[in-house]
Amino acid sequence: MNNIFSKNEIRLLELITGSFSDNKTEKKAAGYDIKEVFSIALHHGILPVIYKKIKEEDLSGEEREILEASVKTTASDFFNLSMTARRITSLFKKEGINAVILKGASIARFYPVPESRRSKDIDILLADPENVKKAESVLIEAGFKRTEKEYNANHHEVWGTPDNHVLELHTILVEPFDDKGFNDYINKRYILREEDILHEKVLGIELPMLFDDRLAFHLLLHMMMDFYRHGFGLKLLCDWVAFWNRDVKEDQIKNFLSDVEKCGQKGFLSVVTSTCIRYLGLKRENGCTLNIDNDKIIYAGGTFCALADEKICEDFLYDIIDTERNGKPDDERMVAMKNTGFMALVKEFHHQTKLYYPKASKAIITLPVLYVIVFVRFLINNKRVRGGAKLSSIVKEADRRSRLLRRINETEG
Amino acid sequence: MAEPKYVTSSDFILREIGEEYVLVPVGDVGDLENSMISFNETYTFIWKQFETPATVSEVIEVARQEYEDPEGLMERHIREASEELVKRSIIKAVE
Amino acid sequence: MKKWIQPMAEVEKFVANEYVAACWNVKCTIPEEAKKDTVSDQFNPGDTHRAAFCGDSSHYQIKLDDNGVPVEMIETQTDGIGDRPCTLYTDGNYTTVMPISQLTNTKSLIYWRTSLSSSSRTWSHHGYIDGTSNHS
Repeated sequence: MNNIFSKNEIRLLELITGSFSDNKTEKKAAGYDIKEVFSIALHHGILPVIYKKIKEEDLSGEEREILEASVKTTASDFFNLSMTARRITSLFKKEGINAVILKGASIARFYPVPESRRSKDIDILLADPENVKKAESVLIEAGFKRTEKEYNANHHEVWGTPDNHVLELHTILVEPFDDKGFNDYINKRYILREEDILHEKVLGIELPMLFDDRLAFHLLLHMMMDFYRHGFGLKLLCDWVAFWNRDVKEDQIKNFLSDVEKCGQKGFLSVVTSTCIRYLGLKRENGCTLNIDNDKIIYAGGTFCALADEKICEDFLYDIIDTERNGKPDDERMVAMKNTGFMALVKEFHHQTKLYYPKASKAIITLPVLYVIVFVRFLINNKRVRGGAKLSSIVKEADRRSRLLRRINETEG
Repeated sequence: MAEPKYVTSSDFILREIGEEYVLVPVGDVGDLENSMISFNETYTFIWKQFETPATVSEVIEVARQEYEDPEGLMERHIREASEELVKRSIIKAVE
Repeated sequence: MKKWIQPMAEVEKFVANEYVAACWNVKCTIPEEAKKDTVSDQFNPGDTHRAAFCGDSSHYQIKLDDNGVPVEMIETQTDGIGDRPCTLYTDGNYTTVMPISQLTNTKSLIYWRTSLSSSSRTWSHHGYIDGTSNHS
């Protein structure tokens, strides 16, 4: 590991690696400040994941107290949310509505300690988006309340559960990208039949979820979407490590790779997986399905993806650690556009308009008015959400991240 | 009449969360739904003895080998705790 | 051999809050006043006020009931360690507790404290209520 990362960051990566492996020996970075390591882990929401390792460090009394509280809250939320998700999907099932949970327990089950994976809300995808009205009636009958519509309401609705949790009810898998072919493919692929739904018990709680192929693809898309918007933190990389550090069936991997290829995301897959291999202990000796063979990552059925070069993995990981450096997305972060420059910004602006106003934006005559509304909204949000970070800084940051994204997309998959 | 054997119910799971043991109801458990039950060390010990079918007397016998009981209250505590666990359906009689 | 202690079990219900219609957000203005990212607490210099945390109004909520009356103030989004209760005070001496129901959506400075559950670490904040937002 070279010197782009601080000693504290290196130590944190060691603790994460150690938490996902049975390997008793671990390197120990020298000269790190455990307070800083603790702080970074706290801000990324992964203290419970590294609990057994970090509690062996020289922590202060306050840090130990925060650590115990973090573990307990995360576990409590896990069980509470999982049982609420079970209740919702059972209510749906009684009315003939199939649905699956996204993320949550479906990913947590791969962790050494499932209840260590932090979750703050419930995500449920309707197997058939045509059932949304029926699903809404079921929720209202059960005492759920719809909260204010968000701008991406053509992707999911936000509800408040009777015990004040947040439920995101998805009608399509992810927020639409700026690519119709891509969106059409995803939407078709995620209309689920009964046989596409896995019923699995996670710590005694039975839940409907996706099989490995779609689950992995959703994870990848989710990372990609977050990376486009404002970046993502170490928690999602930990999800990737947890998912692949086990035996995944060949046919599931083949389906997953087929989806990745059809959506042109081999470069992103290569960078994410290579980063986890290089820095987070995604390795054969830790039970991983994948292995390295020269410049390729392979599995039993053939080539998984290319092994991305060290520099791009480094820059990618640096961006991820940087995302939650202060416990929330940096004020200056904005979308990472597929290209750079003024026209890329305009194109992204148009895409945001279509997301905010999916119906109105179909009428070209309304577009100038909608652009003004979206721009004013952006300025207001910029002041409120980003604390008034300078517009020029935001655009500059978007450009930097867009260049990183372009390098990722140009990476051979 | 032979003493009944009891075993832990699959409607509950015991997890080590941080420095404590917590029993989590995951099945259909009536008024214990939506809760977590924190056990101290000796309650955890009792629950673990019932992970395989055991009588209360057998649990007491194992406890005598592992714990000092200067105040002579151990047997009473174990019987009362076992009664509570049965009452809450956390442990169930084996047919 | 270990010493036998009485078996104890504590049932903790998952908190089922009443649905709250709205809440006010609050931020601590101490870092802003000092024009610094991190400022020592006036009573406990070892504890700090951070602009990125207590200086961010999304971290404090005053929950209102259906009649718009404040019922609770919490420190929230506390990096995965759960919400923590806040205690309101009438002034900057932090000696007289103010019942939450007496709080109004005032433009005056309000004073509150947060602390870690079982330690003497306490932070004495002051700041302004930052408008009304829906609570999800």
